[in-house]
Amino acid sequence: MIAFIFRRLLTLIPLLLAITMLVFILMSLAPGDFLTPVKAQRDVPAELIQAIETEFGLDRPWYVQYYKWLGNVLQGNLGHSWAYKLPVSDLIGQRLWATFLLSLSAFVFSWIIAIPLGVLAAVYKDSIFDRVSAGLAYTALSIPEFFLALLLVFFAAQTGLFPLGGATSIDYDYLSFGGQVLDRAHHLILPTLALGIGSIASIMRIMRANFLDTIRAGFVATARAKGLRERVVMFKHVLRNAINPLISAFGFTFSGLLSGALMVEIVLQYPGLGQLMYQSILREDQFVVLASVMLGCIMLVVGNLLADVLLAWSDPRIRLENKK
Amino acid sequence: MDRRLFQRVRLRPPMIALAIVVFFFVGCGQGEKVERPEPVVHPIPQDALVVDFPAGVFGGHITETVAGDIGTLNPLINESVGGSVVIGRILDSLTTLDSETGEVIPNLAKSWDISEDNLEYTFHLRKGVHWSDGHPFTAEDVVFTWQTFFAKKRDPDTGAVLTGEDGRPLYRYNSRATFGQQINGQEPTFEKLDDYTVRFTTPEVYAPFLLFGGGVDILPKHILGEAYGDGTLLDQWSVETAINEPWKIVGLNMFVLEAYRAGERMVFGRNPNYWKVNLEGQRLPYVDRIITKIVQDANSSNVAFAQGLTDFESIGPDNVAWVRRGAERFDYTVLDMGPSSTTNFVWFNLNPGENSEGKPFVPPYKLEWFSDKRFRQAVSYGINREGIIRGVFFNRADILHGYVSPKRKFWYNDAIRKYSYAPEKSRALFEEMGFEYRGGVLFDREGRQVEFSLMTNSNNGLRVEMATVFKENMATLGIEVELQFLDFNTIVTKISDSFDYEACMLGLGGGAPDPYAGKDILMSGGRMHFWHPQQTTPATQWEARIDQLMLEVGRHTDVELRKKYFNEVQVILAEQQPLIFLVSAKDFVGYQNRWQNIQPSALGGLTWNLESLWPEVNE
Amino acid sequence: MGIVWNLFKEVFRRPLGIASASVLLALYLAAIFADPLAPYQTNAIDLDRTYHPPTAIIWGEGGLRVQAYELIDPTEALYQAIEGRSYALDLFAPGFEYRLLGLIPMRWHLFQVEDDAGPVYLLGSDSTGRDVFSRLVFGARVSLFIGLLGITITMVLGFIVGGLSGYFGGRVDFVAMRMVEFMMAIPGLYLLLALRSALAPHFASDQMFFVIVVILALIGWAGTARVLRGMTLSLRQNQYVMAAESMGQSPLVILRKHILPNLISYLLVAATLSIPGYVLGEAALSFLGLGIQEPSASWGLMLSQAQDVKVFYLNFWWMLTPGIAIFVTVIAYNVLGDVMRDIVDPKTQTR
Repeated sequence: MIAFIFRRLLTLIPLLLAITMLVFILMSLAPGDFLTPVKAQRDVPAELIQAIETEFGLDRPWYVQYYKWLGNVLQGNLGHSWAYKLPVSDLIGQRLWATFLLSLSAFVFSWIIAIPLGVLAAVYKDSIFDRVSAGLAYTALSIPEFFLALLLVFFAAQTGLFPLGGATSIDYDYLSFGGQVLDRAHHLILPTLALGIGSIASIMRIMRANFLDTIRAGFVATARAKGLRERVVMFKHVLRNAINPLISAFGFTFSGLLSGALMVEIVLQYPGLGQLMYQSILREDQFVVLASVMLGCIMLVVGNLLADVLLAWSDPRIRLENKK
Repeated sequence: MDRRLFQRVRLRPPMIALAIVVFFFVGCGQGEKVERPEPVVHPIPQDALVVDFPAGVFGGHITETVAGDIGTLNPLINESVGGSVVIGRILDSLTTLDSETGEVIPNLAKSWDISEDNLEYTFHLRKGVHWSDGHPFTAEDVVFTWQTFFAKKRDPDTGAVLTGEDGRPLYRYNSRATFGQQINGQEPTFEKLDDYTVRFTTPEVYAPFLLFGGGVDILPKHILGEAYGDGTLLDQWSVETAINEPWKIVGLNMFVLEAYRAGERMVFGRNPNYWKVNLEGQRLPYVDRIITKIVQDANSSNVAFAQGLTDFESIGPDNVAWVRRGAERFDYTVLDMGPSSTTNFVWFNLNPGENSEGKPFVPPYKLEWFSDKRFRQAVSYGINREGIIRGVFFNRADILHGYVSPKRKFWYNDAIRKYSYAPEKSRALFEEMGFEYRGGVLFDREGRQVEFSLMTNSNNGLRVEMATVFKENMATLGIEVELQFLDFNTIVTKISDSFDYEACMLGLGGGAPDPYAGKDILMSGGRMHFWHPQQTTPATQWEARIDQLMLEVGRHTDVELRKKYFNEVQVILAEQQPLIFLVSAKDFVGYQNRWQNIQPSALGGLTWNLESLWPEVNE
Repeated sequence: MGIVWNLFKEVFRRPLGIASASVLLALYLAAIFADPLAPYQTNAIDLDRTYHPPTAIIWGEGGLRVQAYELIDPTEALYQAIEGRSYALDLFAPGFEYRLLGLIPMRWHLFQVEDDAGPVYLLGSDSTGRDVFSRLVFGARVSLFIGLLGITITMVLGFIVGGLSGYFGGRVDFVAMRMVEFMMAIPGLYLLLALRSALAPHFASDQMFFVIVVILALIGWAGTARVLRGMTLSLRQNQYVMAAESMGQSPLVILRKHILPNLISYLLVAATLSIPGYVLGEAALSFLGLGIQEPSASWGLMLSQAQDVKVFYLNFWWMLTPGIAIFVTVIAYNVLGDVMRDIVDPKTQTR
């Protein structure tokens, strides 16, 4: 198992390198260099500008810059943010965590709702429940995430039940631990809804399809012939096997979650990685843009890796196959 | 697989995962309670200022929001509104303004004498006052502060003062104050007479000295003195200091910075050495702390207030209607404070210079258009200000005819040229300039289409709408305008350093009631002389005339005489339209009803007596 | 071409197919004929009627009439219907000038208020008094056609790369597939933003339309390429292909004459199911202020203008209609795509 993970990790490294190089090239296409907006500011010490120029080789061609930037990144130096006047690494940690939390909660939320719904829809195939949920799934899939987020803000404004944005309240630091947990949870409700509803739809449909396929499989007939109760057949045998293909969908949903999180964060003013990236693009804060894109990609790649590991764990055939 | 084993395996990972999640849920978000050195608390100073408000109960905190983050906390360089709010809470000045009459009243200086010839000002400082960290406050600090403004660059070997191309000395720490505190190009001198007495001598009679000179935020010599000596003064009190060592930002005002998290929030704590007391001799302020959340824009700020989350708020004119709706439910009051001092205006880049690559800031043929006053006047006639007030501001704004907003009733000169909405007049002016219309599109004398780009800050919704209206108004005149909505900091960089733009729409807020407050904007050498800042000599006749007039405004103490000169300034500005004024939003404020001793005034706003405000908590 | 025709005949035999196709047809027709359909131009501001609610259409005096409103509280943009007062609504009446299909100068519009006596706002007005309905139909042009243009580029690109790599296999295949995997490993929106921030400064704002199309196409081609490659791989074993190869026909010809016809149906299905992604991508970019800018209208841009807090609190719900338009477009495409997929590949049916 460990060997499997290790081998997968190895294949990821060239992928990450390629991604970061691509983003780097894109950044260098933009006019001016990383320091243009800053040279005009007065409160940045000239020594700092000089130091960064040499550290990141900003006066050299882009491949030299990339090489230096990579080296710096591996040592933990992600550059300097001009909008916030801070090293990027100080800025990103908090935001990365917030986005991860949001994606995770949307993911959990959508799975918890989608799987039972999908199973029920399959079990009661062609009933009213099945048709209605299929219709709702369609609808949910087709609503743009940011529009849904807008509608939720509208709803929050009209009812006053939910905060209109942010991750924590103003006096968060002065709440008890329990209070802080609740506060974060309260602020996560709307973003999670906006993000998770789309996933629910697709997962539910896949779940239903897989369940139906599995039902027709041979071993189910055997189980029934053995005289096992219908419920046991369904939930113990069919479900376990039906879930497997879903795990491979993990990777896709994670990618969608990351992209979707960006829009949701912006509309709901949730201070995550996506919002940071957006603000930095507007302010031409190049180091931050580069770092957040890179981190977004890393999160995605790690997510896919996790999916593969989970799949391998639940389906030994994959593990064994790769060993050959 | 064995069923029991299977079930055990299935349950454990989720539980562990859940536990880890909850643990980190809050863990990574812990507040920054930095370890600060304990300040030495001194007894109440013998010259403490006694405020005349009913005594209140100590404790409680203020929650508020601020739109926009701070860029730096160094008062010598700060240009952001957020920064001014923070700095203003921590630092204090020798004099301040009375919230009702607008007159200069004692603050850190308990009294002053002015010589017969109006050239010497001797300030007597309060005795026994200490900085927030416990260090005594003396005349040394005042002298030090003024030294930072006028410190000159010297040759390291000879010690001689270095001069620039124009023969003027080069300053070490070029701040707004460096130019702002000069009187007709000369520096006032200052000397410490004793530990609690400072004397300033102005080179000529300068009426607003008490206000502007006395209103300077005093800097702590014991903290910044070293940086002043080795040249790193402007790097001090940066955002990094605010995050990691906030106690280094030492001041004399009622609060100190306890914590700052970039882009999120700031926490202020009570200054244990504050020098104001209430009628019962207790040291103020009443509140323990202020928690300030940083939000994206003014709208988010209003929303927070409307949900009862914050205590004091300045409410945008287009939001008053719905904010009012929550007054009962969340127990707050919304007040109409009348016209505000905020202004909105458009200007054209008249800077004839070139950038470092030799490319002119503005294409020369466009500069020719912009520099002709008839062009600017025509544009001004073409703007539908009444429509903007009705449609964009929901009728809660006033037309700005000129430089002075209707709030400053005393200085406002009504006998200036006004530009009501009259597109026919615009067209007539264009024709006079030799421009012509072809199929509804305007072309200049050489047959080039008249078009330009206008930038404004994207985070101000009302301004974005005004820009859209402006564009349409110009389209009616046959002029094509390209709108650019940029980040505010990008705009500041463009208008003060790179000059890489054609036209801009911005606004100003606040400012002292004295006409000399606009010196930086109106005089040709000022840094805020937007259309062509920091000129070494006035570029045009009328700018030279304004310079002369402003000097007279500063030179005399006779109010009627000052008014006469300032009226002429307004007439010139209205005629030349370097700043095309639009509208001024009305001032609305809101506060939670539980706050006691609230006494809002048009001049002072809601929190001018912050030290006396305390919340009545209903049990 | 016969294949395509048969496909469409099948689509129209199913109720869902007819429904979704008609919706899309209606939307595209509205976009093409936006000029006669819209009573006002996209930039016609009216500062006396900002945030005006939709005007009620009533029947009276033998014809259609538009209810008149008055502004009773300017501080809240509160309008109230004036009892008994209304304006006559003319059908097929002259209005602002335009060029039908860019060629024929015309003046008539579907509906106009007689003598321009008052406004007709089917979907209310926005923050500067512009008619939301007019902006919606003109905005459809951008939002709907960016999808079509982008998908064409993507399909062509995807077909070439996927087809060639599936056909040749070996190293070509290996390199191409690594590239595809790489493209798919980047979160779409992040890449979109990064691309946009890199490319945009080099172009003027009215060229933004094409810049966005290019960006969207560059992001989308990877998935298509992979699918097409898989199909090409299996088709390659086909008898006709083997025969053509042995006869010495060039690979490009084989691709065009033998493989493409078999792929067309799949291509169409994939295209139909991908267009919503493009529509959403453009909407997202414009919403963020990074896409279509003023003076053009696009649904995403209109939604970004609806993001003002007072819209929510004062209940100016009509500002959100562009979102519904996007939603309808996306659903129609999804349903149509599903119907087509069911026809083309019955095995994947989830019935």
